[in-house]
Amino acid sequence: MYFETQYINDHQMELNMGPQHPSTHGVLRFIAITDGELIQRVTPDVGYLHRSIEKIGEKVTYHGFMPYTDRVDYVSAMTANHAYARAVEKLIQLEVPKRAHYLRMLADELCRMASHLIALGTYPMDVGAVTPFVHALREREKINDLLEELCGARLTYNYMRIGGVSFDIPAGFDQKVLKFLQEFDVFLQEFDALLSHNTIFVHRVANLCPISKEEAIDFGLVGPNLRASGFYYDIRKEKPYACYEELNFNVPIGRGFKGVIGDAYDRYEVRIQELKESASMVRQIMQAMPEGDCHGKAPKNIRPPKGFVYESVESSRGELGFFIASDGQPNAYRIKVRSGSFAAISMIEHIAKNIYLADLVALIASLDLVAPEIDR
Amino acid sequence: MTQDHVWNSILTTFEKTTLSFEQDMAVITIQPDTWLQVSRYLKENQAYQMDYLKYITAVDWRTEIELLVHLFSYRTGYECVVRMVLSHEKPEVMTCSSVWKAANWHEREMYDLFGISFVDHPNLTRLLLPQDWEGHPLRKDYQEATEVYGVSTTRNYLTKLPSIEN
Repeated sequence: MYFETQYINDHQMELNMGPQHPSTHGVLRFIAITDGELIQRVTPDVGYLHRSIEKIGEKVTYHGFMPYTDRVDYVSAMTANHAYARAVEKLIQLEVPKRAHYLRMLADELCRMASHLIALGTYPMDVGAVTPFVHALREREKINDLLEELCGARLTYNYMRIGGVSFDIPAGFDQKVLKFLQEFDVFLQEFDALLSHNTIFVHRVANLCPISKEEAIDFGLVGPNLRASGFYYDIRKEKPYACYEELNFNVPIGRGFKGVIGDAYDRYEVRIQELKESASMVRQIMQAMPEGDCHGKAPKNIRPPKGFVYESVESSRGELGFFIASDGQPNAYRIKVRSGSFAAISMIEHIAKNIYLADLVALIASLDLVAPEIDR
Repeated sequence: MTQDHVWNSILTTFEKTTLSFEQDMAVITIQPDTWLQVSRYLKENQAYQMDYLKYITAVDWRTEIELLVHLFSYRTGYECVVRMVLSHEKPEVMTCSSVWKAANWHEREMYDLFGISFVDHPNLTRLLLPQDWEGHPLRKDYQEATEVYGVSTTRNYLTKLPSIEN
């Protein structure tokens, strides 16, 4: 759409940011009304990555929709696979083998690490430090290699199936995972030294755009962003799915590490701590991996009874859920995706007031917005 | 929450309100014109304290449009879906964006894709589609336009390829 910078009066100027902008993490547009360098109001304009995934879901079979769920949030595709598989399994009341549950958790946690590495790598890049991005991406490449060995794809995995997973772990996989985790511990120390305690970075993001617990809940903020506001809630703990109740892990919450509770630094630190938790979870999963079959016994033609279902998982960006309404046909009657970034972006209009234009970039990065998840 | 008695309070407070279960999810069917009062009741009543609006969605059943609002309470742990049946010709309901701020964008999305108008909504404009888009694509009777901004929406060139025999 054609856009012309408008001068509203002597003080105010309407400024366009995006849709193509290096810090918008996808195709995302903001229209800011500024007074000098201060933002008075910012309006997000979304929909540039609307691929009608919900409408496609009405046309394809239940099995056939699985690859499309990868594209809902391509930075964290495994969790979207998992959420969709769980929704259909609940709809047709299908049991999943225990080994498949463990493989799903393994894939989820590795994918969460990869996704958080992207978030933590692009965050400093958006505020002006390029080096941490390269370090984070190097580790993410290793995870991508592992996941490629597991399912054959590096980004859009299509790994999970209704009732199970597509492949068992290949020979020698556990050795590779353990080797990676050892290197990862070193990386985390390095990353902490490089960035987490870096005075320039801390001063840049501490006390920036704090989100209170009440605001976060009111706007439906979920996942690390909600926890950074000091609210303890994690679906993996409160409503355990797969076999998460058998794992021992902590849920990090924001405590005002370098500033006030719920500021942009807390959102960074919570993700760093989640990386550590995920790494420990992957270790536990590899140790406790049960024997058995990992392929499900789902019927080829799924015809669920009439009704609807909603199932969600804790994705890298919070609650990612699939609502499926069925009318008894082999394809869904209606599919709706509830995503974490959607809630986060609807909040920007509210919190980005009287902040500097450059801080808007830091705010977007700290909320870890992924545009395809907003538009679907 | 599968206990029926939890929902007794809301069922007795509002007339023509029924309770059913979908899998293990409580579904409260209400009259659309009571929605604003029901939403305030669910949020403010001490027994429910529904503070988290997960999503708003709609299903087009061709003769009617079903609006579903999924609510959850962090404090009490209760979870329910509030169901409203709206007319297919002119779906209209009060906005609940004054009760939960999260509803603002969810309602805009429903307006965009289903054409449900939310009365008193602060900014009821299209969210995902361009402002000049015609129709509401997630409706079952939606006809795809043959041309959008002068670009054809069908791939005619595929049929014009020469066959392998030639």
